[in-house]
Amino acid sequence: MKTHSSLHAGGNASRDKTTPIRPENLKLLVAERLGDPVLRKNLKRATGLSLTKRDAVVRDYDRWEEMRKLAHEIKKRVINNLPEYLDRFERQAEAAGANVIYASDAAEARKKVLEIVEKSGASLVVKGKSMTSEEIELTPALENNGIKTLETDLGEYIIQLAGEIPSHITAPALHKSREQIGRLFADELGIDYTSDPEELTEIARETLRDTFLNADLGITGVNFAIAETGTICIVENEGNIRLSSTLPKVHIAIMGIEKLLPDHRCLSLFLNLLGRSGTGQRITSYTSLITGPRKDADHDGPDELYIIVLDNKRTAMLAEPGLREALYCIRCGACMNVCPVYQKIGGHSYGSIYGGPIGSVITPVFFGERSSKELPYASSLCGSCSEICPVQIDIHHQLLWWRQRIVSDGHSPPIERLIMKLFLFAARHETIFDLSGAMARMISPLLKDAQGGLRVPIWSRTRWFPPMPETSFKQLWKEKKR
Amino acid sequence: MKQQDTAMNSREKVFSAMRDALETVDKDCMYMDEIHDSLDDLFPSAPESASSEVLSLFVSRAEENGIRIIRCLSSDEAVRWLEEFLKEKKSAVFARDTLLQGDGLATMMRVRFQDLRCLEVGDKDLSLEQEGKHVYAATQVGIGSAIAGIAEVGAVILAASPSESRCVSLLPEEHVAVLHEKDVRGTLAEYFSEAGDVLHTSTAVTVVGGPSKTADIEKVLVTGVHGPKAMTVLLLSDSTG
Repeated sequence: MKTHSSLHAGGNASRDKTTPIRPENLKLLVAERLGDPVLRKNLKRATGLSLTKRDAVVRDYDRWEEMRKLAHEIKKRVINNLPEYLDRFERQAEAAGANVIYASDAAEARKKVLEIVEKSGASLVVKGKSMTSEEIELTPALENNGIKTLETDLGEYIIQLAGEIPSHITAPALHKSREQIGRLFADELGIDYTSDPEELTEIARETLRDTFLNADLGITGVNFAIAETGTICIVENEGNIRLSSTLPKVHIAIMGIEKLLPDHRCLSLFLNLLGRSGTGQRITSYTSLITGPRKDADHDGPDELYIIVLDNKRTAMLAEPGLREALYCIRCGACMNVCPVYQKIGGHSYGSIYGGPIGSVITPVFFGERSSKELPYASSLCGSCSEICPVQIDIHHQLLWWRQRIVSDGHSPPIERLIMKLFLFAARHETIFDLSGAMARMISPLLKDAQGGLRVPIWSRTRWFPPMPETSFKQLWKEKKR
Repeated sequence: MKQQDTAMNSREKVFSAMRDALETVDKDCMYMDEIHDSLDDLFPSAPESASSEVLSLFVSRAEENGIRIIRCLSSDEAVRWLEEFLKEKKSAVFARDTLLQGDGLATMMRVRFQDLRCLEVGDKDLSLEQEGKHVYAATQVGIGSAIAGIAEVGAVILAASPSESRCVSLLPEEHVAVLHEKDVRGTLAEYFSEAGDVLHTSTAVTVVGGPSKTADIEKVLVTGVHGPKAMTVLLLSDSTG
């Protein structure tokens, strides 16, 4: 990973971030990022602005809570009847002329995309922002096969130039300052340094225009798939997704099995929720509703449309009642913006492209329980995520569910397991419980610090630990009863 | 044949995994008609009497989204506005049937402005088999029709059709859409419940809520990333028919 010192940001040079971005590195990743003043500033500004904008447009509705509830119910209906909805979608999309292709896992999805790319003889591919394609690591796979692949969303383009992964679902380059982006553009594109967002955006427009006009194939994600008509719906602001799905001869859209909605009427609710929750917009600039490739009477559009439907462990989530609701997620990113932990540590700390509260729920599914065992603890369980979620996913209870699962599967640290075993033993034997209480009350005064709290390793470096009371609860009870 | 087999296998694999996962699921959830009733309740259709409120909400929210709204009392007024607007331009591409039937508008402007390069959807120069997309990209203004406006979100709806291409609203630097007041609806839900055919037959329906924009650099809003840098809606009063 390339890192650029923050010399141009006017702050102290941040520590180089060299730890590989993997969930098992959570603690190291957090430590690196907490020590980076530029990142902290970027995060604070971005999440704060997003929340302010969201609040302003959510106030359009007196019945926002009922809208969330209905969205939850619609998703519940779809997920509980997923085979029927997916089958209907497939039939309708194929009737409209699209090719629907299934992939059980990331490797199969990559293979099938490559087959299409090779069959069409494409050598230049333009990509719209798609979390699903990040999930299956599609771009590196295409590049390794000699197919030039360009990310075209401005944020993703920045990330691709920097050789990084996105740090937020809707704002991939949120962790970077304008100075860092300016330096990156100067280094990678050989232009004069500028930190002006308008100039930088214009440079990206000019650089990518030719690419769009010459691209052979476009790859995008899918926000919603409409079962009734076989339509795919893609939401964006920049126009790069419209370009990627209009100009090249072939369009490949990649979607998870959970993206379905029954019909356009239901979609109207989700569009209102997604724009407002995600970017604080009533609606984004472009919402494309694509039904099949171009028809004879059409003047433009791709000749071929392939829709890759991806499982990649989603059916494992479907099978687990404790996690099933995570499939309702519409990837708006509001839970990240509102999370007091995300606001401090940023998306990369979570070690996966899916960061923040919902990321901590789904990353263990993708990366395995053992390597992600600390993620569900990277939360204060304050519940802000569940309260802001536009489809009412009970995110913080899913984090609790994971904590229980990780402990019962024996993945908690040995020392914690030992302490819990001792506690269990003591709690079951009254005399031992009383005795340990008495001992703790004896030792407690010896460990007091200047503030009268207990000196507990690590904890009391930054926080106060209450000392043991002088009398036990049992003693107090006896005295009051008298 | 072999490829067919593996394709079937993947599909079967995914479907059987889904069915297994849902074997014990509680099927108790809202029925579709209950969902539709709730949607109607949350997003009621505005009564006829409230049409002026709906219209002014559309105008104010579209303007907040960065769309310039020009209200015209007649198609003549719209044509006059376009003439004024095109005076300073070098090239424009017209969708068919915009304001006037067939290629009327393009022909009219061709006569009016000798120096303006007037193209029309369907022209050979614009076809994809030729270098059509490059011609679109080199054009300053794209002018077409919107099939609806939505007040709730301040957006217009475009649909690819034999007279409208997708590129008209995508590649030129500026986009102008003609919208009739009678086609403005209160909510997306209202529009989608009555839209019917177009959702099945048009390969590309696009809800456009402003010019191309981004906030990917420090959340600073910049208009005109990959699509049009400016967008105008000519809002035609109903009295013109």
